[in-house]
Amino acid sequence: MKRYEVGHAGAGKTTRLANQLVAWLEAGVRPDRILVLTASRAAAKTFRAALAAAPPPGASAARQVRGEPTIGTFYSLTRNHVGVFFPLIAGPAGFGDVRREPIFLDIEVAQYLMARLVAPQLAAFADLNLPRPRLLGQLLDNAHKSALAGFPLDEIATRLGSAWAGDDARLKVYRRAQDMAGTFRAFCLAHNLLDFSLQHEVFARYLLPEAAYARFIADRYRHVLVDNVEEMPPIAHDFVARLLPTCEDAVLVEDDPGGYRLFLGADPASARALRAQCDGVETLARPYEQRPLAGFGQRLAGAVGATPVRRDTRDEALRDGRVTLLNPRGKYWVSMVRAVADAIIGEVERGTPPAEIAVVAPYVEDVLRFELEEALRERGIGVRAVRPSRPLIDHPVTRACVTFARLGYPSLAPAVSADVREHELARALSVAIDGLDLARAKVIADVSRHASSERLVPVSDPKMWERVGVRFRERVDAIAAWLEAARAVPADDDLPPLDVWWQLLFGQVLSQPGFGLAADREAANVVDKLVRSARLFREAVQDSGITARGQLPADYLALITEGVMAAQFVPEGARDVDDATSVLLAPVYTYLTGEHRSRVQLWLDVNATGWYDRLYQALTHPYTLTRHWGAVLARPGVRATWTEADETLARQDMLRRVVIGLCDRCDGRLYLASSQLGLKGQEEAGELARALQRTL
Amino acid sequence: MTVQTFRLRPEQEAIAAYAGGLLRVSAVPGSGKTQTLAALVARLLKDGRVPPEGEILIVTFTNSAVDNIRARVRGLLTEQGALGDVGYRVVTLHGLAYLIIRERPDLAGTDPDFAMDDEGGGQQTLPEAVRWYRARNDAYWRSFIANDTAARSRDKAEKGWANDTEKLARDVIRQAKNLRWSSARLKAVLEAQREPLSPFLTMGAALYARYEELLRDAGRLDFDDLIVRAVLALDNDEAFRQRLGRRFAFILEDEAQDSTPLQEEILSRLSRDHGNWARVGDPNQAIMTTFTASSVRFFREEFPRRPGVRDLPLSVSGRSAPAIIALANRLAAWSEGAHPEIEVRARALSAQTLIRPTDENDPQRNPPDQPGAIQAIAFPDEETQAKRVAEGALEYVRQNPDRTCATLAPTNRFGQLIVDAFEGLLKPGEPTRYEDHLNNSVGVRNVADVLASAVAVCASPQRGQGLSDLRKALRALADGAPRKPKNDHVDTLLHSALVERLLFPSPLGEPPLPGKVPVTEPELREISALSRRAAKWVRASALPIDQLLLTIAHDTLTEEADLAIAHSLAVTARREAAQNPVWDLPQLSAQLTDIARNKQRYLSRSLLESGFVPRPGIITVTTLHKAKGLEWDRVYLTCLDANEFPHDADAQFRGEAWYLGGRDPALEARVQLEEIATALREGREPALDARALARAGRIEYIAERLRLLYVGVTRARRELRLSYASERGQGRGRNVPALALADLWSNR
Repeated sequence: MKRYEVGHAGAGKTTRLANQLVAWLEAGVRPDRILVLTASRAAAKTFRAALAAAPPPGASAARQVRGEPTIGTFYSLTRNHVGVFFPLIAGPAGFGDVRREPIFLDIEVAQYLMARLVAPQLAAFADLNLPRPRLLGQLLDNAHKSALAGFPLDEIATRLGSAWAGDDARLKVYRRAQDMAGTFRAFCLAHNLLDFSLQHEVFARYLLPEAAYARFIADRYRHVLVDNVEEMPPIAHDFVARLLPTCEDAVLVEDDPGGYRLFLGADPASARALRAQCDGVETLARPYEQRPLAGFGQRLAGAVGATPVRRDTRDEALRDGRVTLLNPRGKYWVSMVRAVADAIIGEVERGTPPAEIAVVAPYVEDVLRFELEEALRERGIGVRAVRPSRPLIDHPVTRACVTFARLGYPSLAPAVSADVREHELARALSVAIDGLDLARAKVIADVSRHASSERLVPVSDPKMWERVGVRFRERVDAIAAWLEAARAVPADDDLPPLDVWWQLLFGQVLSQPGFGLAADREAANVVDKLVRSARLFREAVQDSGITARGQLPADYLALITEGVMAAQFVPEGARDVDDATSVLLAPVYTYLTGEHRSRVQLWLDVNATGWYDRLYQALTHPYTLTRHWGAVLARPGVRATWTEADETLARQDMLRRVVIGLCDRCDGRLYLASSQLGLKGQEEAGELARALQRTL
Repeated sequence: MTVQTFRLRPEQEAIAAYAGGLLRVSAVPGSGKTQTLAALVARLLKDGRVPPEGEILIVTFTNSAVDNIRARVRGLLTEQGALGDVGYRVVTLHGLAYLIIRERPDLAGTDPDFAMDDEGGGQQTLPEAVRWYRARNDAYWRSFIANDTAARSRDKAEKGWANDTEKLARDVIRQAKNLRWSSARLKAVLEAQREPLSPFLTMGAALYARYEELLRDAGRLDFDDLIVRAVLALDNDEAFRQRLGRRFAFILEDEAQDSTPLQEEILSRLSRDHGNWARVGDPNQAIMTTFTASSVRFFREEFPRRPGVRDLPLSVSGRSAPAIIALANRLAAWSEGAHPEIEVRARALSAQTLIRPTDENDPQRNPPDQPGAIQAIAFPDEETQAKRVAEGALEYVRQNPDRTCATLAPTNRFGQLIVDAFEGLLKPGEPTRYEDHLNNSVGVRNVADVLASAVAVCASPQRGQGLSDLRKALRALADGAPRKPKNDHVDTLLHSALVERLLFPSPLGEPPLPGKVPVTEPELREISALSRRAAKWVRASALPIDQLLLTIAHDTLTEEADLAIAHSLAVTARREAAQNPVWDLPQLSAQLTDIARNKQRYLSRSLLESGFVPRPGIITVTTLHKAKGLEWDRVYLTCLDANEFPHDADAQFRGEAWYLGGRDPALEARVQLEEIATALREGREPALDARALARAGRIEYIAERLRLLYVGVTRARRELRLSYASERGQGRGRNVPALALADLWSNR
């Protein structure tokens, strides 16, 4: 039996899927014959949790104990399978050395390699005002999109050109962008490197058609669950389409409205094509009275792009208090954030658990998190920020690691350590040592840098220790001694690579009791990410001949210090642990694509154009680099163009989906917060603000 | 004048009745154009002329004008029972360009997260480009310094030439951008020229190339890029242009005389389909032409020649006494009819719309004429002029504590002489009777001081001095007066405190204050409140720099104008930090301190921009340029000599440097570039005769200085004091009064 279920958020679809998983196991299905495909790692966690909560195997006679179900994202599946089947496909796919293990790149390394490869040709983009990391990011994104939609790289320029109505010079620029994607691809193939795009391309073009692989998946995945199928890219749908004829049971679930991962290649239209392969389509919905904001969401969505009507009455949701305006006349952004904090405090005082409160905003800036944390701390309310992947360097723990490397990693030039300022050292120490605040850290850093401008030396100034507290002395000395010993490593051969060095620093010092990273799971995660990123960099770059080996640590430090924007395609990072005393803070799309619902939602910056704008990038395009657009272009006789009108309709459509999606995930009250000026002092009146004017 | 009591005069009524089409309004100073514009907006909305999907776009020159117009429109609409904020939008021209680019950065060819490289304090990119150029072309660059420059003056000459190089770069870049030429295009055009070019123009082009590169690498746009790229976005997609045109169903442009040709291109494109574009301005007050690339000619001559343009005056003004009005009108008439340089006549001031006083029934009657309202005085030298002007102004406010007064100088340098003169004239114990608004206003300095001290605490949270400075800065801000250097008992306590224990009390309860010094309960409370605030900022110090500043600002500032300043400083700081990775809190604090101490300019084009309102009994010391849009009961106009306000295009000019053999690099390059561009447009060979070009540049300068003079005269409500020094000082010869007003001195 193969079912396709569609419904709004909160209709209970995922719960049904999880129950189905448990029911299969209860019924004696072999666990390793089950595939659960999710759109995000967070969703995969939900299913693992359901599995863990299921009755133990002994409780049910029929239940088998063979293996584990495969639960994960399409990304993790392709990575796994491309790795396992690499010898089978390396030759046909054109890899340089079929006997060597492939290396899967992350975005930092991919950008680094791209930068090295195309550096001499960047003048072609001189008319565009794009900082280099952005430029490189867009060149890579084009390749990603081509792989996920399944069209060849040499269509990029034509497709981009079909959305361009202006000066011909841009068409040449698109051609160059396409060439560079090709150059990068050739380099990756030659060196057995798989970036995000090549991983998917190889999977779709070489692995999926392979007869041996087809047999493997037909035997292996007899029972298939697909959650949020609308958030997956077309090649994932191709994969599911291969499974459907051979498997015994399948349930595919679609959220409607959905498609929020459009910019990550999600394609709801190609998901819907899978309906034809199922035995039936079922629509699920929760009763209207259990969805207090659904009506408001529909009205608001209806007002998007509509001709304004002058209203005589206020919207019912506003009248009966389900919707409240915050800071409506206020000028400044910070005042808005403070009004939001007050509203949260009010909610908690009236009995709403903090975990049931979510703040969603088009962008989540550091200051937003900070201001909320400061305002809520006294009330014992925490802030749990969920953010899409960000540059590693943005985390204080990364910065501390970088500072210590600059002070202690031997092969770096002496100037690097001499350039560490007191302030930077103070920050690193306060991160590294438990309970050490910035002010005391600064006292220590000043004395230490005074004693030596090149190293962190143990400080023996009794008066100072008396001042800041002798309890910190042992820790500072320990860090200094460790760095000193690390610097003393003589021969190049014994020198641990930077990633290992950081691992040692963390394991031997920073994670020990009394140090700042002991028992801090978030910090451990960050260090782990940094270590893995540095190792990958070393492994991917050292044999490519593109950079001298001795230069690697310095280049890596420069790379992360530059703050490469982790691209949108990178799978999201581990989320903070749920915490009953914290409110959730998330960007709109992260909230919508995570497994979130809340009793109270607060929408920030409702005037901001960020609610309505897609990311307009000069060198890439989310609509023309899709599978659907390929069909449009292929129509004979018509010159297809993506026009301004298409653009407007697409934006309005997306905003409607966002509005309805958010309201579907809100079980109680909604606050709409605004300020006349945005964080950067700009005045905005975006489409959401206009729709609200028409609704309220 | 409150909104309620405002009644439209017949001229204003005619404008408020505008229902569409192209319109030009020539408004004289003080004629109530903002109020008329607001009435027009309210009328259009009330009469339902704005289609439901559209809105009225009101474009103006400064942010303060935006607030001002919005407040008035909102007032009128609320009065009529309509929603205050629906159906119209008020922006600056740059704000409009920003909005267009934000809408489709891909069409504008820029990153969606572009940052602004504005002209606020410490603009870094241009000096960096100049440094780069000099490092590579040192000998060539030095070769311009005149050979006969004495060895001891060489340092001075180099310094001067370095400043000139920056100005040269700024002017060439600005002009090229207004032509929509990239540096590559400019280079190509210059290389195609057959006649030899001014070396300054080629140098300017090289600087432009580097500047462009620096901006691009950092993903930044400067103000001119905003305009260029907004036009580009509109040109790159006709459907996009049409959509915005439908959205902005009416375009009302304030201060239209200051718009640059390229800015006009934006409005012209937006109004192309509906043709509803009303432009309000005073061509006689166009004093931004050499700062921006604005060209008054378009508003004055070319726009009215478009088919179907209606022309309406706003000529009635209740601002000044009749004698002052007469002087301003006479200035305009002389300039247009009798100026010795014929080319100046058509370019400087227009006598087409003369100022008329209000009639008897007008709610805003002109102040009455009084004997000796206008006096012209010649002083023997600069120092005497500064001293006597200061004395006179001081005497005036002592005797008329309810009147306002200003001393306006053409340069900061002379303004500073007046400030210095005040220092010696105040009686012991006398309250401060003047405010120095030459560089940074007291408000800007106090805000910068608070931010600087707070950031200093973040940078060095362990220093007692830091908390004490912060406390003084907060007090100065509360008093609206300069910071008092004296320490009181609390300061002494803070100096001897272990501040880290104050900010972050340890669980062991170690005492933060030295045990021996006595301390009272209120003192303890104050110290602990201050410490709590400071501790928050220290915790915030890992935030991006602009966000840290905003957090501090919203914890300390309440006044609207102060917050606006802080926001603008935050923008500047973000840019600096993006540019310079090692830039951290200590550097930020140092820069803010420079602004607080007036060492570095935080640029606002006019006092009005920073929300300034003249206070009775307090003398405003500022420059003519910054006085735009303001009025005082008595106004001192200083340095009205033929050097500052020249009339002879063959005489030596101020900008022309002795160390460069009398050449003015920026002017030379600008004029030549303009000729090349014009010739290219007209399909002819450019006439690059250096002398003729230099002369043309001087004519523009003469005209602009006359308009500046006109602005000065029309700032006065009741009395005008005009002066100049007959000796130029340092043996540089004798001065004669500016020709435009020379008879005031000779008739005496």
